[in-house]
Amino acid sequence: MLELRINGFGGQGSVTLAHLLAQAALENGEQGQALPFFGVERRGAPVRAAVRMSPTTIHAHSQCELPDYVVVMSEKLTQAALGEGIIETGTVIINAPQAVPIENHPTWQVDAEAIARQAGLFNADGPLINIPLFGAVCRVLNIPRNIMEQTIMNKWPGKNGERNLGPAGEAYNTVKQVNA
Amino acid sequence: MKTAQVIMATGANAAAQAVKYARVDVVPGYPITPQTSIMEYMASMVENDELNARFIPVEGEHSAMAAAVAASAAGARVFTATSSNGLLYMHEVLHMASGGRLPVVMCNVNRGIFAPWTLWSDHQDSMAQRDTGWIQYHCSSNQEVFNTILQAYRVAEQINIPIMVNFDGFAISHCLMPLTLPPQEDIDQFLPPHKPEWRLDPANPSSFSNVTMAAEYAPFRQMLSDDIIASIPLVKQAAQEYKEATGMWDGDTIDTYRLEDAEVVAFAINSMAAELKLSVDILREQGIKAGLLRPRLYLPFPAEDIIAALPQNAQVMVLDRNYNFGHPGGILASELKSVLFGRRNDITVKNRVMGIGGIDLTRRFMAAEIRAMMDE
Amino acid sequence: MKSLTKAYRPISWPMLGAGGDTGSWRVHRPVVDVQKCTKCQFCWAYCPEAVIDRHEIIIDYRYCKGCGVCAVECPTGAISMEKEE
Repeated sequence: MLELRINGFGGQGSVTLAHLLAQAALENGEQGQALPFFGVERRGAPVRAAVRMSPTTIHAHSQCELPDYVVVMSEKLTQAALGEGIIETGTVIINAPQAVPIENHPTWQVDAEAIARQAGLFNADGPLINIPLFGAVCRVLNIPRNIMEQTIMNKWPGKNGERNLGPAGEAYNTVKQVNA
Repeated sequence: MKTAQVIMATGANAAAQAVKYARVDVVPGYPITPQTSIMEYMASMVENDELNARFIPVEGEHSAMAAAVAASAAGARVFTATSSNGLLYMHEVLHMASGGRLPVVMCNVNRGIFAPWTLWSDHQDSMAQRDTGWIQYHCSSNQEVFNTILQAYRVAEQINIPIMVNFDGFAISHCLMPLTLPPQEDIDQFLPPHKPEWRLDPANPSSFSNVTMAAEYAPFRQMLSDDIIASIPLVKQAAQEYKEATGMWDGDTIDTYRLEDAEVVAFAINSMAAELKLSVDILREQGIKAGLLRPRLYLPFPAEDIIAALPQNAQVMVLDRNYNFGHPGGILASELKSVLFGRRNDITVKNRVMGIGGIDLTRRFMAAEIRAMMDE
Repeated sequence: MKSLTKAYRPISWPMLGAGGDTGSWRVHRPVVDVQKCTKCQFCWAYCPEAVIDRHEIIIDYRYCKGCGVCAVECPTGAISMEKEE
């Protein structure tokens, strides 16, 4: 069972990102689970969501205390996210223009905000960074690109889905490991 | 022939899908976190003509259950849902549903009780309704929520006792997971339309729940008590027939995992019992012969099945997500001890209360707790 | 399931004489003075045994138990309670 935690700020789309990843697991022929942590008055405040993928039935129903992967939606949260727990050699995926490698942890960087801005993906809260991050995480987890695209189109059939394919694909291509 | 379909659904959506499959007629609803999303799904299903039912928005949970009781007495198949203090507010009318022998099915999405406020799960709300004369299931997965609601209608309408289907707030209700939706025809065969042998009907006037003298009242209560226990074979039959119809199985009155040769048995309900399967695996890797016994049916408490399933000389670790005020531990432990007394003197029962107000119950934490309990 | 009979549920069906031979209890009988009666239907509304015809104000003495509620409630004093022979 693969466990992943998303750390972000409320409004950045962590819940949707978690849902997309769980859905992608299903499209990829596995079981998927998205378990966001819900609180009160979370907009703008730190939030987290658990994602699990497994070839067999998922019995876990807790938040991921020691995940294999941590997705950091905003680089400001990097230390806090690691402080919440990650396995010893767990992978970190950071949304930042540049990322500082984290010792002992394979560290991946993607500039999700720049990609979203360039594609004109905005809502009232700002750029929709979860779409490029979805592409980036799929790449890191070795989820095939066509599965990633299929997941987006199933969630938003038609034009809305198509608008997301470009930025998600760009992140899929440009996410890079900074301490290979 | 149509085949089953797999969608991604939250526990709340799973509940709403089951209600749709049950072709429910009336849905009175009042929102309360974390149950609200069930009512949102129900309202939109009715609005979009996916479900041919009457949705009744009411001004509180007392009214929601009152409307459910009235609609059920009029012969409708009824569903409602609530959580926490909403369930407590229904308390009086819950007795009316059971005493009136009305087959209402309700979801309670478990949430801790005020005061102080909490939004997250523990089991104090449903356990506080233990003595209302309702049958109670407790579910440990999204799929089980879907399956159990359909089985609950089957059982409730056979024996005319209302049923509460409980599952954890957020850990199930807001957890997105694959959900298998069987073909509607299979469910229609498993759960035929509700045909009550009595209903409130202006063309054939009758009076419901009149004043009774003790000589009439006492037998009504005795029959309710007897019939709640008599529901156990119906619960098993419903689980079996559901399996034959859909191929899906969550256990009947109980669910077990690696129990046959277990020396240490975890005993818990709801989503923590699913996570406990992983704790059992961890303990087994450490050389401890661990197993799991989960009562899926909490009320009536499946005494005979528990007595038959527990291995000889087992240490049973009861993990309660509730308090049994006035006693040092939780309510499940108390129920289990009363069942074992004089019947299984080989069994040792130990108890801890945990996970109150949504404290995260991880596989590692619960495995460590069970290890610590072994040394007590 | 021995208790799964019609009687397990608290339902009653209204019917004439469901309360038994209540007319035999009567010590005083209500008598309507048709001259004073305005057919206001108060007696019909108040009668606990439902033995008064709504429109003709005729009392069914088979089941009237003689409680006198109708005589007290009648706004024109049209009902008097007379000792049974």
